[in-house]
Amino acid sequence: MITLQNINKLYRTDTIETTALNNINLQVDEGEFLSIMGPSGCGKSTLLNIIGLLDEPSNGKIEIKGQTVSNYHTKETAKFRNEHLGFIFQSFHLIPELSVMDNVQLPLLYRNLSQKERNQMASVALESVGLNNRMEHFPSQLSGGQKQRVAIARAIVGKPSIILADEPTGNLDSVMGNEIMNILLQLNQENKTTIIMVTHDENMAHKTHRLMRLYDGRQL
Amino acid sequence: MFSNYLKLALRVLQRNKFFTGISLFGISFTLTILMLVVAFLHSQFGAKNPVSKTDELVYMRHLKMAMVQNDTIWAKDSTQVDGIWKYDSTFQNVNNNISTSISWYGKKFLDSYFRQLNSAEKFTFIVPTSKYNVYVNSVKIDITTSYVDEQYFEIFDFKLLEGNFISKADIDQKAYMAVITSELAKKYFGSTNGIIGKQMLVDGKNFTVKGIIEKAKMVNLAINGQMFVPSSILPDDVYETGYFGNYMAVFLAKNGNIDAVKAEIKDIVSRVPFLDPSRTNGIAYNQIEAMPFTFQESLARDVIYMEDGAESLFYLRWIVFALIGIFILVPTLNLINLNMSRIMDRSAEIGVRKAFGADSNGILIQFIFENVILTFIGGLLGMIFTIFLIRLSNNLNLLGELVLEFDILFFALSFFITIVFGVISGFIPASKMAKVHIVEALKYK
Ligand SMILES: Nc1ncnc2c1ncn2[C@@H]1O[C@H](COP(=O)(O)OP(=O)(O)O)[C@@H](O)[C@H]1O
Ligand SMILES: [Mg+2]
Repeated sequence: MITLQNINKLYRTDTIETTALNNINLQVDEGEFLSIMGPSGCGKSTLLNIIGLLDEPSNGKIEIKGQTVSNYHTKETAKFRNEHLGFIFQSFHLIPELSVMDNVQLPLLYRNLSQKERNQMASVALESVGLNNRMEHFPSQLSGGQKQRVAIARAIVGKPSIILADEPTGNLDSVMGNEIMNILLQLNQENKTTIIMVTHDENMAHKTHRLMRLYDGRQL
Repeated sequence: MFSNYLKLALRVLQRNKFFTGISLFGISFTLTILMLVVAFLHSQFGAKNPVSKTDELVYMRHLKMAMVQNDTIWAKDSTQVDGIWKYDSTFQNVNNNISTSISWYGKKFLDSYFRQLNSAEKFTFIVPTSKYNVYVNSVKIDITTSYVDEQYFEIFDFKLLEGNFISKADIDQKAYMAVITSELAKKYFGSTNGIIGKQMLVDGKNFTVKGIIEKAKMVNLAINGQMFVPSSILPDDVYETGYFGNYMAVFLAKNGNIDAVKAEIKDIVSRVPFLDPSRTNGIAYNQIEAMPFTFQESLARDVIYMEDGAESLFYLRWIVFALIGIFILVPTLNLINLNMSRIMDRSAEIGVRKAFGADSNGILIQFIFENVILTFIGGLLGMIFTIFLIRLSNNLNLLGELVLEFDILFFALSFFITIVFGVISGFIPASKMAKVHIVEALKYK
């Protein structure tokens, strides 16, 4: 499903050169739930961004669903992300001016769908995270856990086959964090969605199929 | 998609009240000025009664006579005799030792040389806007009178409300007939009803009201009279000195070819013999120029004096364009700057949108659209201010004879200006936003 070969990522500034990722090789199968752990600054987010086609590796090859990406700034890459990838961020990144319903619909705006179809799909997604009674609320009116559930609904509304979650429970207390984790586990089991999740929580990591540890840009 | 953008745009504006207030103030102020300029240009220069043929008319307002000479300086003063201007300007250029006199045309001069232009379809010789004081029920009113001929009302298509225009018979018979504006009718008679055939005492003479017309709503010497009477009632050669006098001429070009008219006028003047100095207060004029201009050129010449009216118009146009340009540029830069400073606020949103499938064009369009919505609201406010100011100007006669108008064309133009302004001021910030790198964008909270 996802194959990474010899992925390197260097950040160069005038004075220093940082190696964020050092020769990463990774294979993720369809329906797999992979967790990534490691100390702060070891390159977890960088790796996830590269898998999500949000960032370009300095060198190495990446193949997702049999497709290799060469140019990251094209319409095709945008379309590919829209159709196959869903993102969940630590700080939710909901758009404060938009209602829950409109936030969830965001990925669908970049598809050719009618308002009615979008409403329908968003309702289904919100229902699956248990928030169909909060559709007209605005993000500021929600708790942290509720915000992240909206973000999950947004990530799954377009039925992507891969979900990338960067510390999805990082800003939440343990009760809310577990709630979110359960939703992700359920998603993985019931929909066979491939999930890659960065986490700091050993317990959560152990609930996934496989754990990958990073240290200073290298796989352990 | 766009309904979504619209919803978002309105919410964003609502949430950032300070930004919205500042922006709307700048935008509506700018657009108000622009719309006023449009209304002014449209009302003053647009083709409509009584100058529907504005692009086909050539005006001969002034005759210039010059003498190249060595040391003598000649001076003349403007005088008004019985309400009629004799010389309206006379000056000397001492440095070049040239004495130049500019005045209106003498009737004989026009009659002898300008009655048979091949390039003109019609012509009229006018003594425009002589002012008289008249007492009606011991209240003083000013009456601006124009002395016209039979073709005047064919060239200038005044709206006739009642009665008839001055006819050839009126001219031939030197009839004391008057065509007056409804405005004057109200002032003089207190009403516009049933006054055809009534008498008006002006300048000691009795005129019979022959027709009532709607007054011209733009500033233009040739049409700004309130009372139009046959020019034939004026004594033939009084007030005339040589070729100078108190007439102006207006020609309607054949097939709209005004250049041919200008050329023919210049050609005729080049063959006019110089007058004996005894007929021109001793000045031996050795240059004559007719200065035929279009209405726009002659107006431009009042603002920027150039020998050639076309040149005046050229410079005036560029100055107006430049002023408008600067006037648009400053608020545009301001709005761009304001939008730029807010990119940070929207950074995470851009990152999210791109992560979920928006390409750069999508972001570009979204933010331009948002800016157009903002300017559109500013445009609506500007339009309201403009209409208010136009009403104010018209009610208080702030622009003299000029009545500012707003019609469909005005609204269409204003709408167009607003959208263009929105797209231009939105483009640079939007393209910057569209270029933001996803990962960088997502770092902002
Ligand atoms: N834009 C950047 N410029 C320079 N260095 C960066 C940039 N982004 C990340 N890094 C560096 O790359 C390393 C990995 O960062 P990151 O993937 O965010 O770590 P993690 O998510 O594991 O905390 C860090 O040392 C970080 O300082
Ligand atoms: Mg990180």
